[in-house]
This record gives sequence, C-alpha cells and structure tokens, in this order.
Amino acid sequence: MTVGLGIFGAMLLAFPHNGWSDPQADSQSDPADISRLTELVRDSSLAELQSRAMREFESGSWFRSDASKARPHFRAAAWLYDELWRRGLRDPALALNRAHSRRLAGDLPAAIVALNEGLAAARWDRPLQIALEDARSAVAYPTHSDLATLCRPAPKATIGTRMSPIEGQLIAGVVWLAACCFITRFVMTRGAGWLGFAGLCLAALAVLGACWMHDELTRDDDESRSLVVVIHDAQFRRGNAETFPLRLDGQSRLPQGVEARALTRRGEWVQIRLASGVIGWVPEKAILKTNN
Amino acid sequence: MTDVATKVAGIRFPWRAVAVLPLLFLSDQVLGKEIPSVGQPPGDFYNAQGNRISVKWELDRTAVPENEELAATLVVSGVTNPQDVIRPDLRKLPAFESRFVIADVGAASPAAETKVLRFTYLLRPRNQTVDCVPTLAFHYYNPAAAYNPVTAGRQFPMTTAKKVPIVVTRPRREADGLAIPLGEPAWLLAYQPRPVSLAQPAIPGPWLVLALIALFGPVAAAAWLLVWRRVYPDCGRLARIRRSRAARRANEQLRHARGSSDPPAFLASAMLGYLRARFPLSPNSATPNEIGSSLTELGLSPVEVEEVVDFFLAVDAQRFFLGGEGSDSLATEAGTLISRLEST
Repeated sequence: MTVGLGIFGAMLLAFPHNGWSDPQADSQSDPADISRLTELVRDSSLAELQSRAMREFESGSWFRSDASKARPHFRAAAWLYDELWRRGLRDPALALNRAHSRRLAGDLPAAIVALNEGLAAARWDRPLQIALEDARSAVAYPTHSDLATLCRPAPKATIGTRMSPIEGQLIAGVVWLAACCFITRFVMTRGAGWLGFAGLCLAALAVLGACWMHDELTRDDDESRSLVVVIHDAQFRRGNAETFPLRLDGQSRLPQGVEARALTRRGEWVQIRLASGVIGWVPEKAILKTNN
Repeated sequence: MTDVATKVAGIRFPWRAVAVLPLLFLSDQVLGKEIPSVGQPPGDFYNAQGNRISVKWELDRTAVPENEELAATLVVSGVTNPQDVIRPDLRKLPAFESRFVIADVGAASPAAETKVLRFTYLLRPRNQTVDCVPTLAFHYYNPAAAYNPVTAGRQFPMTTAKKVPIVVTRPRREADGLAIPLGEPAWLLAYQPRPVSLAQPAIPGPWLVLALIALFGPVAAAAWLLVWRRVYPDCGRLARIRRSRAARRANEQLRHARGSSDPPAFLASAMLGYLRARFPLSPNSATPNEIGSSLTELGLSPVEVEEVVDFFLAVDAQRFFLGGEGSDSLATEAGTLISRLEST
C-alpha cells in the first residue's frame, strides 16, 4: 500500500497537470511522426517549442525501461530541439539537449553532429566537450584492429577551447588597463620599476593575442572543410566506386559515428580525410554533414 | 628456560632464546604477514599472497545479446590474505575496456579465514565482434619461494584466468516479446534537459569590443593623471625636475654635501657639474664671472645668470672668509636654483 502511494506520488511529481497529456496516452501515437510534429510546431513560439521538447524528453525518461517506447519520445524531443536550432538559437544548452535527445533516441552519429555544431558555436563549453568525448568513446570500433587510433579525433586543448571570447576580452582589458596605469605611474614618479611592470603587462597581452591569433588560424585551417559523420558502417575505398580496393588494408568497415572532413565529391561518393590524415572515399549516403 | 640453559663458567646462558631470535626476524615474511616491495611486478599484482593460487572466470552465460550484460566472476583460490587482496580494475586493462562497458558489482569484504575470493563484474559487449572474455594475468606473492634455493627469485609467480569464448548475438527487439531497457550510460539516462535562453543577446562585434577596450585603458589612465595633478600640484614640477638626469644627480650630491670635508667646495663642484651637463658650458669656465658670461652667451636670462653668479660668489665667501659656516643654507639655495633652471 505504502509502495503504491509512493509510486503514485512520484508520478504526480514527475507529471504535474500543467496542461499536457499523460505520457502513457502520448505513447499511443508515434510522438516522432514528423508530419504530426511539423503540423504542431507550425505556429508555435520558441517557448512553446522548448516546453514541448522538454515534455517529450521527460516522457522518454519515464519509459526508460522500455526502449521501444522511450526512443520515439526522444526522437520527438530531438526533432523539436532541432527546430529551435533551425530557428537560429545558438545556445550551448540547446546543443547539449539536442545531442542527448538524439543519443537517447539511438542515433549516435546525429548526436555527434549536434555536439560538433554546438561546439562550432561555443567551442569553449565544457559540458559539450565532455559529451563529445563520451559520444566518441561510444563508437563501436572493432576490437581486433587499430581503427580507433586512425579515426578518433584527439581532443583539442587550445586557448579558444578553454575560455570564451568574452572571458578573453575581459582578461585582455584588465591587463591593458594595468599596463596603462603602470605607465601613468611612471609619468608621475619616474620610477623605472613601473615601466618594468608595464612591459610585463604588454608582454602578457602580446602572448595572449598571439595565442588567440594562432588558435584562430589553425581553426580556420581545420574547419575549412566541412565535418561529416558516418551514419552507418561503410567501406572506406581508394576510389569513388565499389570496384576500388579498400583504403585500409585488412581493416573492416568504418563504424557509424566516425568523424572525418569532406574534401571533395564525385558522383555519389565523397572523399574524406580521417583524423589521422588517411584519405579515402565513402558513399555519400553513408555520411551525415554538419550544418556549421 | 633454565632447563636447557648451560652453565658456562658459572653463568646460565639462554641457548633457547638465542635459537629463537632468527625466527623472530624472519617470521613476518615466512608467515606471510608482509609482502616485500622489492621484486614486485609492475602490473597485474593485486596483493594476493599464497603458496599456490589459481584464478578462473565463471560466467552466468556464454551467449549475450548486444546491449545486454553478462555477469563475469573472477574466482581466486588459495589466498592466505583475503582481506588485503585488491579487486582488479578491469576498466584499466585495455583488453577488457576495448571489448566491454564494465560495471562493478559491490561485494562485502571477505572473511579473514576464507580461501576463495569472488569478484563479480557486469560486462556489456561493445559490439558483436567481441568473441571472448579475455585472459587475465594475475601475479601473487609466494612467501615460501623466497627461502627455497630452487625457487628463489620466483616469489611473484603469475597465474592466469584463461579466456572464455562468448557469443554476442544481435540485440533483442520488441518482436522477441520483451521490454528492453535503454542501454545508454546511467548519467545520460539521468540527464535533465537544460533550459535554453530564448532571448538572443545582442553581442557587439569583436572589433567594437576591442576598440572600446583599447580606448578604455588610456582614458582611465589619463583621468587618473589629471586627478593626481589636481590633488598634488607641486608633484608635477618635482617630477619634471627629476626628469633631468643632471638635476637628479646634482640634487643627490647636494644631499650628501654636509658629510663632506669641505661642504662649500662640494656644493660648488655639484653646481658646476650640473651646469656643464645641463648647458653646453665651456670647460674653461671656472670662476663666477666666467660662468656668468658663458651662461649669458647661451641665452639664459640675466636674472638667472645673476643668481648663478651670486651663488658661486657666496660659495667662495664661505670657503675663504667664513670657514664653511652656513653651508646648509647654500645647499638649499643650490636646490632652489636648480629647480628654477629646470623649469625654464
């Protein structure tokens, strides 16, 4: 009896009657039906979309013990978060919600794409970085080959991934202000020590600027090619046809979730470069491009 | 003790105690209470101790669908120190980590007298290519080996839990008639969506921010300088004086004039040095009149020239007629004169 009341109480807490339906009732129709969702969100505001997405996510969590019921809710949540993203919101929290919804919907490649898109907008966001590393570790590389070494990108640790531009500008502003004050103090007192302090500040400012500049240049170089993610296992070939030999001798297919950079496209094949620099071709239908 | 003691020269010698002494030193290692740190293997050693330890894997099943877990139990037999044995962390072993998502199953600490230890793990195959629970190497400490000349140097032998083949089948689906829970990590299942800020903040362009930052520093510094000059009006003039190295050096010398043997001469020397450094005074100008005429040629105002000449005349009067009395006032006068010349 007590247990029953407890469960009932937990249900009340989890699903308060705030105008949306019981998840059990929701599960009767497919929540991830795209045409239904499109109809639903046509005139919805951003707040309504977010609210609906959160409800779908919570419904998915409610059914976590039954994947067949939970995944459609997570797919619906992912679609709604995608809609928010399509409407121009570029919030790291939204990117994380998208990625987790997609991953819980069983779509690891789409989750990796969402995380990369989030990091393109806010590359300093630590939760996104951690989530991406975790998603990469979930890619099912074969145990009997070194494919993981060839394909898995190394996490980047640069100044741009450690602090946001606002934080960087704030630090630069404080250091610059200190340098100006030290120079002013030198003008007041003619003490050479103040000039030394000012020199240190300017040197620190130069180092900071050089780090930012280097980071931006390398980032431009890295991201000049669009990122693609393998959405289902694909053969990695030397040329743009099935008749070409495999690019990695003795290796099995590229597993879904592998990230690469697209170099060129020919026919229905795309030339990609793996994180290790190995270049080869995969069918276009086997990859998903990011919309950065 | 007395029953075995022997009388030697009238003294009872405790032979039994002497015989037991070496055993006391050896007992810790012989009886297996302490594992020597020397010779320990760098890996796969979990503090197990015993004369003949064996390990093996026991699985609850050998066929497991993908996304489901199998319970693997590592059975360690023949351990003499069960409470000291460390549970092997399979997550740190690449052979296991690359094949399985590993979860430990908590277990109570073993009883001191037990000889068999069981460590259970929940292993979820990462994909269908996983074909076995791999071999686990297990070093242990054999206390008897160290004192046996045949086995000396092999006191840390290795045994292995042989690999067990398994079959990973395709994931069970709803068609199988069972509700399959989500196989994602627990932290992901516990995730609560973060509220998204719907208001798009108006962020100024980076160049505008940089321009503002670049302007703010000098503006703030200039404001500080203006306030400082208003609060300390004389400080600016003093600072300008200090700006002249010649003036700074002359002022330094004036401060030390009192300690010299001939203060008026010292003051005259300091003043002359200043004038030669500050103005291109002729090296031949040494007397007051010569100095005055040189300064006049350089375009100095007659009033200032007169003050300089008067100063040197006063110095000469001090040196040759007054015997050095009143050098303090001369030093003050020299300081004032230098300030006036600096401000021109």
